[in-house]
Order: sequence, then structure tokens, then C-alpha cells
Amino acid sequence: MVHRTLCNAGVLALGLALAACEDDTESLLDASDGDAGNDAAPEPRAIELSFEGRVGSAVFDCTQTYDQIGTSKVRVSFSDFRLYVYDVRLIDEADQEIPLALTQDGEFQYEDVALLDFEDRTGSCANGTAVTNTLVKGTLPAGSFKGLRFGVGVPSALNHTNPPETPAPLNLMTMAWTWQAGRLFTRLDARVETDSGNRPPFLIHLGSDRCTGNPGAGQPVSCARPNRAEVELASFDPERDKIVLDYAQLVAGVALDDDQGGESGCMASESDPECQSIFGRLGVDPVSGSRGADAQVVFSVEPK
Amino acid sequence: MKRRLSTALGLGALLVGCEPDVGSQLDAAPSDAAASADADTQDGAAEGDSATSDAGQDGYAWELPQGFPLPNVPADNPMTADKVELGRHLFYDKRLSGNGTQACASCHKQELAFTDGRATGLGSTGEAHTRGSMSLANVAYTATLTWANNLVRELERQAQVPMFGEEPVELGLAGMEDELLQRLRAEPRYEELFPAAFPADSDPFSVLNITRAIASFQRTLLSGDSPFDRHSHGDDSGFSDGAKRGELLFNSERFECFHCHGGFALADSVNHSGNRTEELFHNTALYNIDLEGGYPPSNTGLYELTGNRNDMGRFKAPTLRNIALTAPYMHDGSIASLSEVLDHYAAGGRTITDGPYAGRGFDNPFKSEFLHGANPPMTEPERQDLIAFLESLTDQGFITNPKFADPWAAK
Repeated sequence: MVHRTLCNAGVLALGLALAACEDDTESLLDASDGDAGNDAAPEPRAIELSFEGRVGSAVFDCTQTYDQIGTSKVRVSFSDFRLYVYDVRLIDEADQEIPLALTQDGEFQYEDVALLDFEDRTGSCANGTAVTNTLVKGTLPAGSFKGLRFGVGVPSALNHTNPPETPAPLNLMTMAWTWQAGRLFTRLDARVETDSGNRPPFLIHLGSDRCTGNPGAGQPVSCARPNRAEVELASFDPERDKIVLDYAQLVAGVALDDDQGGESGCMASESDPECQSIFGRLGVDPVSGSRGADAQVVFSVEPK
Repeated sequence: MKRRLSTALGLGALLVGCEPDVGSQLDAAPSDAAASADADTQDGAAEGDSATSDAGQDGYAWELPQGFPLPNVPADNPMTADKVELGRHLFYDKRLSGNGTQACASCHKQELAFTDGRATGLGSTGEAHTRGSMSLANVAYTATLTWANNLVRELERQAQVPMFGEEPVELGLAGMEDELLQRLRAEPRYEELFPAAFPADSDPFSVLNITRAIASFQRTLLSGDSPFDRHSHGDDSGFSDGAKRGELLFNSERFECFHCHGGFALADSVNHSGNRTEELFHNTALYNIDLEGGYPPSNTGLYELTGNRNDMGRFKAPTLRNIALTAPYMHDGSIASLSEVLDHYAAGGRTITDGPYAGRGFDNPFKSEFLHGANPPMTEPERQDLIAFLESLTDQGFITNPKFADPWAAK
């Protein structure tokens, strides 16, 4: 099983890497197919995790507006609603974490990272993509699972790769944090309306900061503030349940029309007042950028 | 395990690029990628001192000014004349902005040594940058890029910031990769330029190749034929007596200019074949908000990346080449003239008496040790001599070289 997973990932990575070249692609793929055909391993179980973007009780939609958001109860619409998740694990009955081997689809999943893309470039979502993705697909050994854990973000080994040299979904320039040589883990961009008119957009762009290294030379980059959230959903049945991401919960502690400093919204800065609340609600300590004292409250489980 | 293996394979292969022997490249890829910069630096040690024009690297005919070392070039983007020519076209092409109003050259004008004459840059959608457009003269040698960034050190990746960045919007291409490529495919000249520059690619139109070509063009923007340079090589015909006196002052411990603006680059943080790169950032005592060394919140320098209080207000020392052409000065354009810049340095800091940024820069606890103020103070004749020296750094050939000019203008 481990062997098969490894081969699948390798084959797809190779396939993508070689796509621009002409020679020998066939033979490499053929060789690996042979490995994958080894039927001594038990059949893996295919899993699809369903995610739903929400704003309070309403399903996220680029063409909708949502009222009563944040502490000052403003109206919002959205220009973007995307995020990366990674390191997806299901919890079995023995409380063991079983990694979900993501299907390498060449579009939304690469290695152990998946892009959740709720925007479809309609309505107020001007700069996104027409395609959406609300599923995380993969395989794991047959078994019985009771819970789910995953990270929000891009793991360090992939975060600082050069976007146009990295397979999808890590090649989206809109999800690149160019001057930090990393990725935006979340791109949750709201337009804010009050009775007195439009306010500056409220942008939630989380990503690792306080980084050092030389990504151009392929050397490791390390970041003092990783700013990745860890989500644990203790009771989750992948067949019956979906995972809800609620924007209203994420911004429940901030006034979207009255930014207190730094960038409008939260761009991960430890000195940005809005990040204090937003990080906390994702279970991330706003100073260290590591796991905080309290669990996240933005993701929850509901029946499909 | 899985992650490591497939990262090495996928990224390694992509980084190295596609050349004949796929199999062996995959084997070698991880170490190649990891070692490229170091290898360049060390392997080139023997050539560094004796570099002259047309010294070759990967067969490329550099036109190096006298005394200039070979630049380091990323192993995955070797120089070729075809790539440079494509890059020049892209650099001057307004299709590289979302709304078609700006090109790279809009903020980097050749006649101003590839600056724009503004205090701070102005993006394609009208959004102001917090910092001024930097000169691109000899950018092939800068160890770090932009005013204060310790992460983005390759021109290929730096190009992504103005193209796709949104804080602030510069060229405004975020979310428009496909449209950008469509626009370029529709241009007849690119039908030849892209395949010529990237002959191994079945489809050479890509964001990656755009950044590689622009970077290649930028590496050719070499400026080293000013009156100062000719003076250095024994020809004083264009170097006035005032400039000679100014040069002595420039290199004196009283004025301290040379520490950060010395060497062939007239900057202290350089990267070239054969050197050990130093990455240096300095606080030059322009501000001291609240007496705690603070800089305006929108422009805190290296602190913005590191969060280390000691990095407050630390910026790269830009090259002084063509400095007479690149007013206004400092990272935020807050000093209008060279004469006032000299006042600032000679005083060891700037005092702002009122407003939100009020403070006595001289007392900034993070300021460079060289900002001690001239003692005895600068005299008026000394000011004139220093200005004469700074004006001798203007390279007329650089700002008129047709190889650096707009290829779309002629036709």
C-alpha cells in the first residue's frame, strides 16, 4: 500500500514534469504502471471529502450578498473564496491517524495539498477561475473512521517553490505571495457595505511569514511564523458528513468596516489588530503563528 | 517519504528544464537545484578578477564594462541572445499589465537610468506604491532585489511581484495568466521570438518563460562607462577637478560614503562570479518616530519581513550609478535633490519637526554606524565637489544604448 501510494505520486509528478519534453515519457509511465499493478496489496478505499463554503447559514455564492456579518453587522459580498488544505488524515476507531493519499489530479490536488475553490468567477468574483472544487479526493486502507484532521495552508516543503514551475494547484499566481516567496493559504476577499456606502475590501490572506532562506537557489526556507491552522473534527463520517467552512464564524470578532490598523483585513501580520481575532478563531496563536491554546471554530461537521 | 520523493522528482525535473537526456537529469535534479547558486559562485572564482568584455559563460557573449566581473546566472536560465531579445520586447510591452496601460518600462525608463522620476511608483490602476522605482543599472549584480527583501533574490521570481502583486497593484495581472498568454500569442513578433528563445519547449508561451526572458534582458543592463569609470582607467578628460576633490571626500572617513556605495557596483551588497555575497541593509536615520527608532508603518524596511526590531528602517544601499538622473531620492522619494541628500548624510540624520513622522533621525537607535555626521561640518565648496563627483557617475551610453531601448517604438 505504501509502495503503491509512493509510485502513484511519483508517476504523476514525473508525468507533469515531463509533459513539456518529448522523449521517453511513455517508457517511464509504463514501468511505473507495472509496479502499481502489484495486486498483493489490499484494495484501498476511495474517499471523497465534501466541503461547503458558508456565510452563516447561507451557502457561499459569488452572486449573493450576506447581511449582519462581523461585530458591526455589515453586508458583504465576495471577490474571492479559496484556500489550500494539506495533510488530510482520518482518525480510525483506534484513534490512529491514517493519511489520505490524495488523488493526483493535475488540477486541484498535488502531493498532499488540495485547493478548495468555492468561487466560480461569476458575480462579484472577478479575478478567480470558472472551475470550482469542493471535494478532496483520495484513497486510504479499508477501515472504519470516526474523525478527521487536516491543515489549512501549504506545507513548508512546497510553500516556497516557484509557482510557474510547480504543478497545479500550486501554480496559481493569484494564490502566490510573491514578495514573501510563498503562497497565500487563504484568499477570502470580501467587499464591505454599510448604510453609509462601500468600505475598503476586507481581505484575509494568511501565509507563512518571518521567513529566511534563498528559495531561488533551491535551499530550504524556514519561517518563524508558519501561520497554518490545524483542524480537528472529532466526529466525522466521510460517507454521511460534510465539512462546513463558515466565513461568518471566521470574522465574528472583527468589525469589517472599521479596520483598526495594518492591511485592511488580515494579511497574517502579528501586528495587525484584525489578525488577533482571526488567528484565534482558526486555532492559531497570533504571535507565534503556531497552534494556539484554543481549537478552531471556523470548520464544523454537518450531515450531507 | 512520499512527499520528499515526489517533490524531488517533480520540482527537480521542472527546475532543470527539458534537454535531451531526461533520465539522467532526473537523477541529478535534486542536487543541481540545491547547489546551483553556490556552484556558480565557487566555480567562477578563478575568472572573477580578470573578466573583460565578451567573457563567456555558457557561450553567451557578455558585453561587460571594463573591470566588471561575470554576473552569476541561475543554472536553469542561461543567457542567450534570443532570450534577451524576447525579454526586451516583453519589458516594453503594455500587454503585460492587466488593463494594458503599463509595461515594466513605464516605471523603469531608460532615459532616467530605468527609474521613473517619481517619489514613489504609480501602478497601472492608479494605486501608489510606498517606495520608489529602483534603477535597473547593473541589476545582474545585486545580491538582494528591491529596497528591502531577504527572500526574493532572483530576477525571475522578482518579476512576479510587479506582474501579479496586489499590495499594491502594479501591473495588475492577478488572475489573468490565461488572458496574458492569449494576448502574447496574438502578436506576430512573438510567434518567432518565443520559440527562438525557448527552442526546447513545445509551447514556449508561459508565465515562467516570460519571467525568464525579462530577467535575461535585465541582466544585460550594464552601466560602467561614466566619466568616473574612464577616470578609473586613466582617462581624466571628462572628470573635472571638482569631481576629483569630490571623489576624495566620497572616500573619506569624514563622509563615509564609500562604505555602502563602494566597488564597481557603487553598492555594498553584490553578487557575482567569484565573490562571497554579503547581504547588507542599513538604517540611514531618515526617521525616528516616537524616539524609538520607528519608521512610517507603510515603510519599515527589512523589519517588514523579519519582524526583528533591529531591522527597523533598514534598506538596501542602492547603486549610485547614474544617481544624478534618478531623483527624487531615498526609498520613499522623501529627499528631492542630491544637495539635500548630502545635507542629510552630513548631518548624520534627518530631523522632522512636526506631523505624524516627527522625530530626530540622528537619535535613531538602529541607524548605521556611518551616520555619525561630518565633523567638521560639510562646507559649501565640499558640497559642490561631492555633487560634481556624483554627476560624474552618469553613463550617457547606458541611457542611449539602442540595445536597451523600446523595440516597439521604431515600427
